[in-house]
Amino acid sequence: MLGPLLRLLSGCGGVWPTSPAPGAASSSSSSGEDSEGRDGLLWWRDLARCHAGDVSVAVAQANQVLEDQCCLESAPPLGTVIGVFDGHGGPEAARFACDNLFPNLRGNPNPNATHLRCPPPKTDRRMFDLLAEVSSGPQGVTANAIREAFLATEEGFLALVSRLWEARPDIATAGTCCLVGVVHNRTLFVANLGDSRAVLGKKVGRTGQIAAEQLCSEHNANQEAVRQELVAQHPDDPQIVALKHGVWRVRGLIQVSRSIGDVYLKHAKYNTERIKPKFRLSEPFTKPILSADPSIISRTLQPNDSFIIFASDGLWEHLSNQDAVEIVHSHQRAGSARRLIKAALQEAARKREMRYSDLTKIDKKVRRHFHDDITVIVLFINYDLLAKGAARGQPLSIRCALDY
Amino acid sequence: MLTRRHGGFRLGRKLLSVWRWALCHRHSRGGRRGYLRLQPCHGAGRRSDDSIIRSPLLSPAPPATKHHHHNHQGFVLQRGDGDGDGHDDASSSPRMLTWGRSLARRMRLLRRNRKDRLLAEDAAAAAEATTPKGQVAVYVGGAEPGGESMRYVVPVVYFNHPLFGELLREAEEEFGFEHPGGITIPCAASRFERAAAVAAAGGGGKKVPGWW
Repeated sequence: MLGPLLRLLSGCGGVWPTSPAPGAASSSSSSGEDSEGRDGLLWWRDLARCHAGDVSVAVAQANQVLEDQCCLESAPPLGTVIGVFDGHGGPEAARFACDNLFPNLRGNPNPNATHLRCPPPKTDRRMFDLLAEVSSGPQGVTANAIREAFLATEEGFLALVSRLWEARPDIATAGTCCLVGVVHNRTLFVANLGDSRAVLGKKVGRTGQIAAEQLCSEHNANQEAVRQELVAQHPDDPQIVALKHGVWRVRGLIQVSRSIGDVYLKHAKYNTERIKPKFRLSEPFTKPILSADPSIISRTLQPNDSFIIFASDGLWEHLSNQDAVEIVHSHQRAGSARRLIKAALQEAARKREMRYSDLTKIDKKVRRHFHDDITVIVLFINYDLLAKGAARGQPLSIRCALDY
Repeated sequence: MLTRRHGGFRLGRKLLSVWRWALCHRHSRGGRRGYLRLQPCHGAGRRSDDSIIRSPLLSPAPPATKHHHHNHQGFVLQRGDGDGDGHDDASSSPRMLTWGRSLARRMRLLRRNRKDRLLAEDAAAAAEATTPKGQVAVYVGGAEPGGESMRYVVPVVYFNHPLFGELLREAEEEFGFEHPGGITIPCAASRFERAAAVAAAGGGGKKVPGWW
């Protein structure tokens, strides 16, 4: 009863505090409110139920072809697995990673065939061994298993590039960042490759306030630590990081220092005149300039861990960590991801001296001048459910449905 | 205390000023007195209606400083109450204006302090924006974002036109996507104006995408 009343109040402009008490939250989501919507360049799915709690997803497109992909699966034995893939130089790498990383982690091909955009490549012997290790080991998920899954995906993409190199050389310049979160019983793993970000919202004691904690380091050349690491790894290369358009980039080309794909910066044989001139390097390189080694953290979830925001850098360009957690905390759960995207776009519109309502009149591709593709997944953690270790409901599989 | 009775009610000093202003405004609607005076306004674009602020389509607005915190000076045409109406200083326009402005400023601060300020529909953002609804600011001709450039205000839908797409491609090659400030295009002002004229004529325009 409280749930519908709060929804009505929030529908009247959102001026009333509508964040329900924990008891009421579960009742509003159990009333079967799992809706999917699409409006122009925005897609959302709200309050789907997964093994770890509730999840709210939204994606906003800005590029001509959507280069962000996101994926969520929730089924035993792994629990809830969330992936955000921010592609660049084309959509191929992000789609490949989205299709193959979870099967590499889990050991089963995606049973829900309607979500597959392209069939995964034939898995080789090595991946089968890896999959068997993951699903049969007593520990279930480990950081090493996640790292191996990333490397297997990288190798799979490299195989794809070598197969398509003759017909489509531009696939050598496609790459993607990967942000993967796994909630397995009470353990949270976050693996990051690139500049997407996962932020935890933690309740502060009994004050009712919320604090933001960034869960994983980013691999972006605009960070001093990353630049120093690159310089240390490539002491003979004075141009390893260069400022271009006011932004630090690896070799003046790309901001991220680690990714899946981008084989033109990992294997010199793909850096030939067959790729676009702006990606060519003047001297050949002997060791890979980018790496595919993710940063992985693991932690035990606590009762005051309220929610986790997984988002591509399109969101963090305009919102700070604290702003984002406060927006999620001070509104009802349903629609959280959309709300975050709206706040980011309002900020983007303000920077470009225009109104938010006018931003929606701009077509994709031109929209890229105002903001990037944005993917947001908010996972609301149900600590009691995780502590009990109870499997909950049907297996869930979500994939962004924006046409590309 | 300066009060006045009207219809059986006592009006306090501030209410009295408002009352007198309202009465004067009604009387002078026929344009019998007052004169048009150009007065600088501070971020009052949102409050005023379109009859006061006109966005010059295709004619350059005065080049604005490139501060993000919007010290943009728009210009407002206002009726002056030059000759006064014989009453004491409580009814003088500058005081009325100052009080009105400070009230507007307090309202803005109040709105800004609310927790959901980031989500306040257009109001918070537009209070700082001087661009009218449906329009966007474009800086043309600068060597770099923030350099010397002409500031134009054009309808947003022009951006969907292929000619503008071409200009924006050049802008992306020159400045990248993530430059600070408003959209900046490194071309001659004449070329930009030609493109805007074609877009205004509706030549080869694309369909407007979905709303949300």
